Amino acid sequence: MDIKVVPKGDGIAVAEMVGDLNLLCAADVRARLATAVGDGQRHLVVDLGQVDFIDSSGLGALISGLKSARQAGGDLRIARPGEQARVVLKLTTLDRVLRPYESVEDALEGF
Amino acid sequence: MRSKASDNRPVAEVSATLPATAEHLDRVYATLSQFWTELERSHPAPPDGVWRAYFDTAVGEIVTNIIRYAYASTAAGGEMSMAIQGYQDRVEATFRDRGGPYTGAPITDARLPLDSLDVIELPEGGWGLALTLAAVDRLSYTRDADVNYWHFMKKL
Repeated sequence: MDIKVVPKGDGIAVAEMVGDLNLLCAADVRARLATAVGDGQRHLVVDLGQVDFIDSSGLGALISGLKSARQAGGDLRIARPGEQARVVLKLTTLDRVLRPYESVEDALEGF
Repeated sequence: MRSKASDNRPVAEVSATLPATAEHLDRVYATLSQFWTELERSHPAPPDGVWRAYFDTAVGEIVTNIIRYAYASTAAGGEMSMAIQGYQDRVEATFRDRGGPYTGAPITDARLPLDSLDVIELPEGGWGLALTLAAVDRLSYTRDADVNYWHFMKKL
């Protein structure tokens, strides 16, 4: 998993992820999102457009990022989830709090 | 891997034995991908991408469970075997490992830990088995002669 946090100004950043969001990288993703929030990027968009697979460990990392962002007065949004990621969000009903956005631009709107 | 035409025999199957470590998860996904390619060739009405996503999710969770818990007390980890079989009306997966026994609550009791929509109270773990249970039609766990067996089935 490669993760790049791209600041967009005004406390907004896009976390671009490439690869599988699973047990192997979940701790790193969790730390990167926490660092971004700690650095003042409290409005985060996680771009899943290039993520093929998410497991519950990866989901835990996203939940951790969401909680960090909310506690800092911001939010974390999911953009461009693939089929498998949508299934995970639906089965866990987490799509109620991590609503998928069709594009990064859509997710950024209103931040 | 081989393909067969009979209704009561698998039309596609694949198996692999690999180290039960997070570093080898890509081999699990590759094995799955190999299976879908074979099923696409041999099944008259192979499942679509969404159906496969449910099955893939269950595979990922069981393997993660083995890595995280069965071999949790063994620094060197261990091996696991996976076998996936596609039939006319279902796909089945079986996983074997020689790690410690599963000691959690009965798997059919697994529930999603989403009690409220209060984000701050959301648990960051504990989703795996409930997610698996929700993704497939039947899930079972048995232990025999120091071997753990996880098995699930999803109807086509």
